[in-house]
This record gives sequence, structure tokens and C-alpha cells, in this order.
Amino acid sequence: MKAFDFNRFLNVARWDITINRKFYIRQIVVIAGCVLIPVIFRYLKAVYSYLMMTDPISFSQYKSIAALGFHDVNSYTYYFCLLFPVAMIQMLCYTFHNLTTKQGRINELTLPATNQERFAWHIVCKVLGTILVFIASILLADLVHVILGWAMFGITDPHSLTCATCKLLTKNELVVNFNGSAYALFSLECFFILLGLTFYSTFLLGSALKYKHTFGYVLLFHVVFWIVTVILFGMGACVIAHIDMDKLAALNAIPEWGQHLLLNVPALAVLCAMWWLTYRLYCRAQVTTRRNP
Amino acid sequence: MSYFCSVLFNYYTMIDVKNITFGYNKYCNVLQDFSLQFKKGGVYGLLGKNGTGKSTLLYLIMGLLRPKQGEVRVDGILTSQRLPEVMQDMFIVPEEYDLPRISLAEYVKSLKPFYPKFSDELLARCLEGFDMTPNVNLGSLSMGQKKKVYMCIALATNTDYLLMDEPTNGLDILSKSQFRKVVIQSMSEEKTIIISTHQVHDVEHMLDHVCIINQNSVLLDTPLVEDNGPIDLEKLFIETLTNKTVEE
Repeated sequence: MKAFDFNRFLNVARWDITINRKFYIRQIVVIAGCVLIPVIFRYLKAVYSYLMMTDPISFSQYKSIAALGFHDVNSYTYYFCLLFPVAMIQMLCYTFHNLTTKQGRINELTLPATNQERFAWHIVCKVLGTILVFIASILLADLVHVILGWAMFGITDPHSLTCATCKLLTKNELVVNFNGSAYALFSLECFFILLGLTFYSTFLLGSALKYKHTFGYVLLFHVVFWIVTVILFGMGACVIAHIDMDKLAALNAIPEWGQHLLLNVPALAVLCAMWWLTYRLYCRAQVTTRRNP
Repeated sequence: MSYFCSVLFNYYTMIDVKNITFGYNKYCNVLQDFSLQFKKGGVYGLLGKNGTGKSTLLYLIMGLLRPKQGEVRVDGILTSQRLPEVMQDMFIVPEEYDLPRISLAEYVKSLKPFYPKFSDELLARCLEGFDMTPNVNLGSLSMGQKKKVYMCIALATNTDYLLMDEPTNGLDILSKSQFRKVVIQSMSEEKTIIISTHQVHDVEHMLDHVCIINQNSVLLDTPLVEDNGPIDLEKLFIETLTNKTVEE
């Protein structure tokens, strides 16, 4: 029998969505709600401000003043960019939510599908699912923005939230300004991407290790880890301060590709190790406890 | 001759529990160097005192637990690997469980593709046997009703191995009688049902074979023959345990 059968993968997806439909609907509503709330709130605030005015003006006058403010959509885009990682982390914490209860573990682990198929579905569902839901929520927020702007303030040319978000994501200013060669810049970008993926992967690993309260445990881990890292970094800096600078200059002799490898290979190795460990923990899950021994 | 016997034995031994040791912590083992074989076909009763590891044994057979030592094979394949070709021929009805808040039809539709021998006809027959209709929402059922529905689904999967942990717990008197009828009706030569229970009277007339176990050995592993009238399983259970205590 094949280790990965696409039909069986689809069956796993169908089964999971069927038995966890309410859970997924709740997650979608929460994400969409978080995206929509500031858009709706802004309109409600504008109406509330008008009603609370001590020196009332006609609504048509107020509309023309308020409408100018609704063309500014940048604040939304920054909010979306902050919200997305939070939503992704939250969903990654629920990657193996099926395993939180004993019955869930029995259902999941006795399902006639391979570990690869079940694991792949959980990853695809949480990662791609979150991205798709987030995009759909922004589109919905855009629609709400257009409808409310037109209905309440007669705005016929509203600025698109989706376009503004895309613009922000593709802006060059977001990239770290690095005064080096293009190769060094690429290397640093690779390193930051790997670092970001590793950060997200800690939550995935956490969900395979501890089925309940994953977010709290991983957050605690990060607090402890970064405190220890800062202390070690400080100690390292003290040591380097006492080293002959000529010896350190030898590092510059390493060719650019070597520096690239020195920076990115360990980061990639850590990322791969985390995914391997997550998969292994998932495969070795048992019916007994909420903690995966 | 001995080789021939061993080949023949392995052929008919479909579930082979071999020298397993298992404990929920490292200080105390529930099962210690335990071995047991279940042959193809029939209803097995798995009996034992509280805490002797009956449920644990079922979970080990299903591959839901990893033994510290030893192995469990079903049709020659290790169950701890949880391969689809093995899992599609096995189903477990645990003692306690919860069903999702969806309709039975939706639940069955999502589960059916995984079990190639799934029979809608058998499901309908089992539900009818329990006086239940197929148009039910699983979330609105009582614990007993959920148990009946889940057992119907388990039987309808038509898997060769069906493991039931305390299946009659939480069922009323009528339902217990219906349970016996439903199980007997759905039996076939290929099917092996292992029932772990304390309620010996609920299942004694449907068992073909009984295994009485304790932590590290099988105290009794015998077919039940009713040539000399009905067998009192409770008496047999007490006698077996008493004899064991005297021996010790």
C-alpha cells in the first residue's frame, strides 16, 4: 500500500472537516471577526461622533468631512499585518486539536490512513487554511468598507483595503536596509525567513508535544529561551571584547558563500530538526495522555 | 511435522500478542511478559479482575499504545505501525466516548471510504435491532443511545476484528438483550469480536471462547462448548481465580 495516497488524503480531509465542522467554523468566525471589527467600528465611531456633537451641523456637511477620513486605509493594513501572525500562531497551536480528548485520539489514530496523510492534512489545513481564510476576510472587510462607506457617507470611490495591504507587503521599505552586496542581502533575507519559519514551527512542535494550552506553554518557552539567549549573548560579547581583534578579522577572509552557509545552514538544520521532531511525535502519539510522552 | 504445525498455527492465529510488557509509568507494569493468541472467527470474551489490563490489552492490539517490550501482530503485521491495510480491518468501541454533533448520515459518509467492506444494509439492520432510526443527530443522543449507534457503525464497518470495551455498560436491560441479538445477527465466519467486560451475564450466551487474564498470564483460554447445558461464566470466572490463588 502506498505511503501517500491522494484519494485517502482527501478522505482524511473530508472526515476531519465533517467531525470538526463547528471547530473550523468558530476559527473562521474569529479570524473574520478580528479582521472586520476595526472596519465596522470606524463607521460606528463616525456615526457616534456625529450624534454626540455639541454644535450639530447637517449630516450632509458632516458626511463630506468624514468621508475624507475614510480614504485613509493604511491603519487597517498595518493592523492586518500584525493580526496575521497572531492568527497563524493560534491556528498552529491547534494543529493536532483532534488529539486533545481520549475519544479524539482513538478516532484519529485508528483511522485507516497513513501518518503522512494525516500529518500532511493537518499542516495543509492549518497553514493554507489560515492564509485563505485571512485573504477571504480581508476581501470581505473590503466589501463591508465599500458598502458602509457608500450607504452611510455616500463614498463612491473608496480606497481598497486589499490593494493597500498588497502594496504594504510588496513595499521595499519593509526589507531590512543592508549596506552590502546583493548576495549578502539575499543571504540575510534567507536567514530572516528561516528564523521566522522556525519561530512559527515552535508552536507546531508545541502542539505535537502538549495537546492542550499549547499557546501558553510555547510562549513560556519563548520567554525563557530569549532571556537565556540574551544572557548568553551578553556573556559572548564580553568574551569577544577580550579577544584580539586581529583574530576576529580573520572571519572576513571567509568567502561570501561561506558566510552565507555559516549563517543559513544551522538555521535550516534547526528548522528541519523541529519538523522532523513534530512528525515523529505525531507518529508516536498514544491514547493515554494529553501530553505526548 | 513440528514446522507444519507451527505454520498452521500461525495461519490461524490472527491476533498474536507476544511477550508484551506495558505500564503507564516506569515503576509499575500493567502487563508483564504477556502472551495471548486470538484465532480467526468467533466471539471472544476477555475477562479479568479490575486493573488486570483488559482495556490496555485492547488498546495495545489496536496500536493505540506502544508496549515497552514485545509486539502485537494482526495477520502478521505489527499494529503499532498503524498501517491503513491493518486499520481498515479493525475497529474499536471504547468504553467511553463522545460523538460529534452532526447527523448519523454525515458521520457515516465521512467514515465509509476508509472501510471497504462497510455495509449500509447491515447498519440499517443493526439500528433496527436497537429500535433506532437512521435519521438521528448524534449530538442529541443520550449516552446509551450514542453507545448503541456507535456499536451499529462498528458492526457495519464489517471489519474482520472488532474490539469492544465494556459494551453493555450504560445500556438498559432491553438494550442489552438487543445488543446480543444484533451482534449474533451480524456475525460471519471471518469476523472476530473481542469483548472485554465485567458484566459476564450480559455476554455469556454469545461467547464462543473465553480468556481470563491477569497481569502476566492467561489463566484460562478455552472454547465454550454447551454440550452439557449452559455455562455459568461467573462460576467459571470465580473458580479460575480461586484455583490460581490456591496455586500461588
